[in-house]
Amino acid sequence: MYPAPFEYAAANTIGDAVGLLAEHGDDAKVLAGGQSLVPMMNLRLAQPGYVIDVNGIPSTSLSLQDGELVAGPTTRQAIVERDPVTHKHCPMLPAALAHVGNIRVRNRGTLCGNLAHADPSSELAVAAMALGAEVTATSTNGARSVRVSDLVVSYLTTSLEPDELITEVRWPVIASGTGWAFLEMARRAGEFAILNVAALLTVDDERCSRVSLVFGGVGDRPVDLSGEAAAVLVGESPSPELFASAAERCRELVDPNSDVHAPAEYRREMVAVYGRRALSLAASRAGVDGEVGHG
Amino acid sequence: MDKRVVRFTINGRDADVWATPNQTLLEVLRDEAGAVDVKYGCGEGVCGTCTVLFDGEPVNACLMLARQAEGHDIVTVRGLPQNGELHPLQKAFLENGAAQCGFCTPGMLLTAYRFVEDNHAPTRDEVREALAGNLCRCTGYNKIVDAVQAYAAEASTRRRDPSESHS
Repeated sequence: MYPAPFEYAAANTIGDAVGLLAEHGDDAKVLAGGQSLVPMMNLRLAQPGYVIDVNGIPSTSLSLQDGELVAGPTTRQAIVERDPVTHKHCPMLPAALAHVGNIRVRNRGTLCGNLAHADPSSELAVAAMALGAEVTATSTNGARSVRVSDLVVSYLTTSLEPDELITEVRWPVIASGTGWAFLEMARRAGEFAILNVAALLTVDDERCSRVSLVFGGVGDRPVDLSGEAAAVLVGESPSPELFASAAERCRELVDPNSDVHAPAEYRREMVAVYGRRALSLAASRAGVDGEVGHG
Repeated sequence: MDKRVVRFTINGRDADVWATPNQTLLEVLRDEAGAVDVKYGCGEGVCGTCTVLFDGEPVNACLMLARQAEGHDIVTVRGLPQNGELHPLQKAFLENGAAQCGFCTPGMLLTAYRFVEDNHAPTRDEVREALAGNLCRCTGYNKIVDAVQAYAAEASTRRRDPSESHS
């Protein structure tokens, strides 16, 4: 299997890249890591007339700027996964990355490219939405900031215009004292998740004060149930029963599809299980004393 | 589409191939550059069979365009032996019965080789996780894990005492 014929152009700067997108946007795809695009081209699920290779844009590692970890358009997943800066300031990110494909995929795959692909169970999209990450979408008309929750619209669909390139993604650091968790359920290593969940939990004076809870794999885009979880949790004392009840609420709210990997009912059940586990794990990382349960 | 020359190195020697944009690195390595030690498995990047080291890091050759190799260094499994002798990792595979049909073996070797560079004493679970993207239909993986651990232990010994010879 190999791609259908196409025209190829290499861009060595963001300016080059958006110029080419302005010219060919509707019929062009951007080649960054290629770990989602090239399989689709090999299978002929994608047949762009024009491929714009942006790997000539120098690849940067994450930089810490104003309380955010900033990635450029060609920042590689494996570099971020190994970087001590990531582990120190946003440990959810390497935890999520460990589930992305395999080492070969992560050596080429980029953070920005993964978000632009918008897979409904994308670990990075789920983590990004829980953390409140934003991207910069750049075109020849300028640049605009987009929250990842507004970027990922539907199945493999973003709110990007055809001539826009994601040139930056900004990950808020996790404040010390805030607990976090990223869990994934997949039957085989490296395959698309049956579901995954990202959780953040802040506890003040033994009461839950803030929560983020986002699930992947239960819809055509990641599902953010932070508000619904907050309604159950905020102001209450952390306990296994409380987390189970928040996770039950999430189970009632999701409407997953059935597919060959798992029926909808099973995914719904797993929302309750993994939601509870994620909240418990986040609580323990928030330094909550005593047994909060990991069952 | 135009055919253009792409220049890179394979196992330290210069390679020039002609490639159209839609030819993958895997295709040109096998069909143009004689590197048939790089195998085709899935074409989707999930099986690990086509693993090569690209500037030292394992990548899926099936998911790179040939044109992307311009100016880069590629190592295939044939690049592992030194001075006509099998690499210690290859010897560990032989001694531990870690290859049957051999189809997954090049990918296993290159991935494990790079993994042990950074992980000198991996547990069995760590080896399994590192090789999670390399599929094997024959061995059931246990002997591959044995071989990688044996190699890691022996490499640690050699690291501590470079004067000690190995068989």
